[in-house]
Amino acid sequence: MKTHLKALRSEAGLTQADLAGKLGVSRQAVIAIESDKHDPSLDLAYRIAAVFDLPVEAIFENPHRTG
Amino acid sequence: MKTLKPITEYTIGFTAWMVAYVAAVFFAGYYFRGMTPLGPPQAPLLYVVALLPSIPIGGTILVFLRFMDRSDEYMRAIMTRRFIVATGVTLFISTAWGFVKNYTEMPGSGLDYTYMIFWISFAIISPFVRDSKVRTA
Repeated sequence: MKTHLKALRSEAGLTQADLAGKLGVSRQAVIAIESDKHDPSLDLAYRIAAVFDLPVEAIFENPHRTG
Repeated sequence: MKTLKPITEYTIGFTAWMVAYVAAVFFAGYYFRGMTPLGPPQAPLLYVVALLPSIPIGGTILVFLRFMDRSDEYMRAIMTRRFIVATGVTLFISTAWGFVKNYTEMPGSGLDYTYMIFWISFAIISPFVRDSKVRTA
C-alpha cells in the first residue's frame, strides 16, 4: 500500500522512535510501514491519522479507489 | 514495579529456559549413566528424569506466546510467519531424517533433536522473513 508516512513524519519533525512512541508500537513497526513491508491494521491506520490530524486516505493511498 | 519491554522479557525468559534445558539434558545424561547421587536409573524416577528436558520446551513456548501477546501488530505478524516457516522447515528436516534413518545406516534417534532443529531453523529464516505481507506474484 503506497504511503506518505515518511514524508509526513519528516515534515512534522518526528523521528521514527518519536512516532512509534506516539502510536504505542515498536520503531520496527514504523520502519516496516514506511518501507511497505507492513500494511497497518485499520486501528493503527486511524491512530496514525489522528497523530497527523489527517484522513487515513491522505496518508495511505486507497489501491481500490479509481479516479 | 517497572514493566520490562516485551523483547527484554522475551530474551530473559528464553535464556532462562534454555539454561534449564541444557542443565536438564546434562542431568539426564549423567543420571542414565548412574553418575548422580540418585544411583542407577530405576522406575518410576527414570521416567521423570527422561521427561525433564522436555519441560523447558513448554516454558520457551509460553515465553514466545507471551512475547507475541505483548508485542505490536507488526512484530506479532512477522513472529507468527517465522514460527510457521520454521515449523515447516522442521517438519521437512525431521521427516527427511526419519526416512534416511529408516533406509540407511544413519545414526541418531532423531526425535529428540526436533526442538533444536526448530530453533536453528527459526534463527536462520528470521533475517529473511521481515515482511508481514503475503505477496502474490
